[in-house]
Amino acid sequence: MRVLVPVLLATLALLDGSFCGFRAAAGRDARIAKRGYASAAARDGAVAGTAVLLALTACSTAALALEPGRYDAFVLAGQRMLLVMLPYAVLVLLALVGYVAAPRTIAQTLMSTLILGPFTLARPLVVVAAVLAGGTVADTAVRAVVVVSGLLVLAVEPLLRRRRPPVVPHTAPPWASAA
Amino acid sequence: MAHSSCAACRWGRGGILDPDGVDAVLLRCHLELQRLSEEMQQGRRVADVLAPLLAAVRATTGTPRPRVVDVGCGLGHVVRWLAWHRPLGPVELVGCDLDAALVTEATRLAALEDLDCTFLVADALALEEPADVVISTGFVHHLRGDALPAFFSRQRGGAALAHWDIATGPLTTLGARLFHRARMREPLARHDGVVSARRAYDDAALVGAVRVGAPGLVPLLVDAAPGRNPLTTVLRPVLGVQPALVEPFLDSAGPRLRPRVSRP
Repeated sequence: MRVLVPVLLATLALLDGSFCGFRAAAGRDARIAKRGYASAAARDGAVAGTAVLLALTACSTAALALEPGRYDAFVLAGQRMLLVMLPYAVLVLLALVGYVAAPRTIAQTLMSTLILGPFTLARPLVVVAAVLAGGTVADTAVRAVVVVSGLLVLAVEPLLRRRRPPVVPHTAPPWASAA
Repeated sequence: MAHSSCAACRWGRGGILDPDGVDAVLLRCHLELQRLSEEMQQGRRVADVLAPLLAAVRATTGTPRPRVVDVGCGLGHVVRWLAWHRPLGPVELVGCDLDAALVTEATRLAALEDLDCTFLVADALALEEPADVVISTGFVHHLRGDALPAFFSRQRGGAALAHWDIATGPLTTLGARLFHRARMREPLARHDGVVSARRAYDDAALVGAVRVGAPGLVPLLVDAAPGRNPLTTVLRPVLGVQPALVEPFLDSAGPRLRPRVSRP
């Protein structure tokens, strides 16, 4: 658990960052063939997820330097967060696998309407619930890192949206392209 | 539309809308609309119906390269998707819209990807060379009252019409609210999507309008209520087909499509 929990959390952060990147770029480029665009957007998201991980690693390392014994509290907080996030993540991943693997219009639409769309809306609530669950540990420093992790995860998508403004013709005034 | 919900109003000066600002808002809304259209596979859905329909047109009328005109095409996503994937065989693809900014952008996008299709700022039903098949996506709910049968009436001379619009059902408004909230950022797009869902016609109204407006055409539905699955049928088409085309169309429709077509 002492290794598995941080590894799972880091994996989720990277995946979530990639999906944030994809969503931030979606609906901004109207070409038909844009696989490269979508891949680049997901890559940007993964980079943002990595930045979040580095920031959290720095925070956690500082907290552990002050009190090495609180590693168990970190693991406990992580376990509680995973209890909330893991079922959500597994369902989203299964829906994505279904979307890609089933080249049938009906199956893909079902994945979107049943899981991918509603779960996108639910994501901020899941993050908040995970922070509340992780924040039940007694150690104040660990609680602070948990809260910071939630804030950083929620900040990724809005920041990435700024990076990829919608493509509008040059005739539009510059102030009109502000999202 | 409620004034407070009109995103374009943010770009007005002294109560007068800035045309460039309005164009930019409309373009962003249509970009987001295309994203939704991509997710719901609208290009493929249109192709699944048009391919057998055009096969029937070619076989029955002898027209080697039928002309398909998309009414209110916006950024021309469906037309460009068809031009890119080429699932229809020989066909002339034309998109029409009355909004010059959208047509300019559709034309630019088509040129960018070297696509064989045309976009015009024009009344799609008053072109010098009329369409063999008129199509639209998310358009007919904008036509209220007598305008709907009048719209179909102007297409009665063609081989067929096929108009996709929001499928009505118990989950329509909730689904529209949810998806426009999840996938769109523009307040205007979010608002318009839900209003459109509320204004969508049910099957009976669409079929009735085809019968009144174009009595010479045989109305057909794909994924008709009440049998359709609201989770997999977000948009469904109403068709009006020349009587001589009905059987060839059904013959050309594959085993996946044929059971979904009904004659109300």
